[in-house]
Amino acid sequence: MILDSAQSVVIVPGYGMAVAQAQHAVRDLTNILEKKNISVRFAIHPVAGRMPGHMNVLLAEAQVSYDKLFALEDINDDFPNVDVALIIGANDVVNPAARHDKNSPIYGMPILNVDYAKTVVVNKRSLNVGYAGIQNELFFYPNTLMFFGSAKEAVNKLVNEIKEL
Amino acid sequence: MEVVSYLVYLIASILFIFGIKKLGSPKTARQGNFLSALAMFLAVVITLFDQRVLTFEYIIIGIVVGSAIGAFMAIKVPMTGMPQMVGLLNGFGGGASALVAFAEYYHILNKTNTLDISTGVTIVLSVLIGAVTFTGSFIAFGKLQGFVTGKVVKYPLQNPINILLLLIVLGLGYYVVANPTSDLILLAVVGISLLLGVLLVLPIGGADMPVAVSLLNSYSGLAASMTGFVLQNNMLIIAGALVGASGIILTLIMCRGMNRSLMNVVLGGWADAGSGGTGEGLVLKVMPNLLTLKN
Repeated sequence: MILDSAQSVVIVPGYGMAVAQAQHAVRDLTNILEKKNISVRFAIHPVAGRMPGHMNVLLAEAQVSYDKLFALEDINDDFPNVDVALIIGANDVVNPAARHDKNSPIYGMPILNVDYAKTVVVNKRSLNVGYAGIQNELFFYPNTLMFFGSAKEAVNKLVNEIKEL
Repeated sequence: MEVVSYLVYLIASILFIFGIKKLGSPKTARQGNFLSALAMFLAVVITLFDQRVLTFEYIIIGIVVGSAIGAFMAIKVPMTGMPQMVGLLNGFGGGASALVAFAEYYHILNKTNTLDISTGVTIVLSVLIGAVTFTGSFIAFGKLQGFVTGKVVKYPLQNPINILLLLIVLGLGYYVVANPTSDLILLAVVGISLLLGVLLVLPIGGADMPVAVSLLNSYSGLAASMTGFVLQNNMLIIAGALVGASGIILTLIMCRGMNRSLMNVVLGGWADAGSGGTGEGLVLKVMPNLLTLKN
């Protein structure tokens, strides 16, 4: 299984994690992966969840240790070395159009370069647009896998599957 | 007694500064929050002992009712509802500043029948910024909570009207400073400022509201700072300046995070950018369940 054979996982939380209150499930996932000697880090975009610090507070509440949380500029260059980028309820902040599509309304916005990771797993409730009201080409990339469902149930399902291995 | 109260205000100011410094990292944020709360408690207590308190009855009723509502909100409001809660609280902060400045205006006028220029200017600014923050914050709250349309609201001559209103309110403010006894004009300043608060926040898209809330937070700090000048209360000036500065820094961090200028957010730029294609014809790999994650 993709997550199981990974050595380095980066989780990118967004508004969807906050809405679903999935931070505790995400903490469980982190613990179970780390038990299998998989490195887990969190990449936090400055406006993830609408306000700076929103994700940090939620993850702190779930007792994810602070040293696993990385700001955009501290982790962005490392994505090519990442096996799985797991996007949980984030959208515009990982849209590669911001880097290259001059016609995109978010062109020039700093984004997390998750598409450089070997595999991208995107958890979303639906294909609905995010904050900026635009579709995200990342979802259609060859190295992207979509995983629909509310963040809490989805991550809990992941945890159970890994437990059963 | 005066020396004691100055000393306590100074200690509270220092605690505010350390508190906000500690809020900079999640490791120390709880401590920072506690220090700031302690500073606010000290400031309230010493003000009750020191200032011209006429009757404690209303103060006690206010504290009980306010604390109950505050505690209820802090427990009940979910993290995702935090922007609108902060927005609402900013609005009350701005409204309080405007009310205090207005009360001080009548207080000084009744005593001396005149107003020196610096006090006049700070009273007018306090009333103006406080009133704009008050109604602006309520519109922001309404947009985030879904009571007011989250869409970008545009109508003809929007910006010229806002600029005209701002010029009128500044002109009226100047008139009040020059003719301190014209309290009806100060009331007009309040009225137009309240209207301006609504009109300034209405065009901002719902998704941009957190940026607007942060900006209004900065305004409420400025209003408090101005009130501090009116009351000659150093602690209020310092605390207001801290809120004003941190609010504007947070606003700019959010704008930079989206690569947009503050003007673009405030004028409602992004939300009507349209949708950039539907992705039709592209291949979407969906995992119906996680077993497919297995290689």
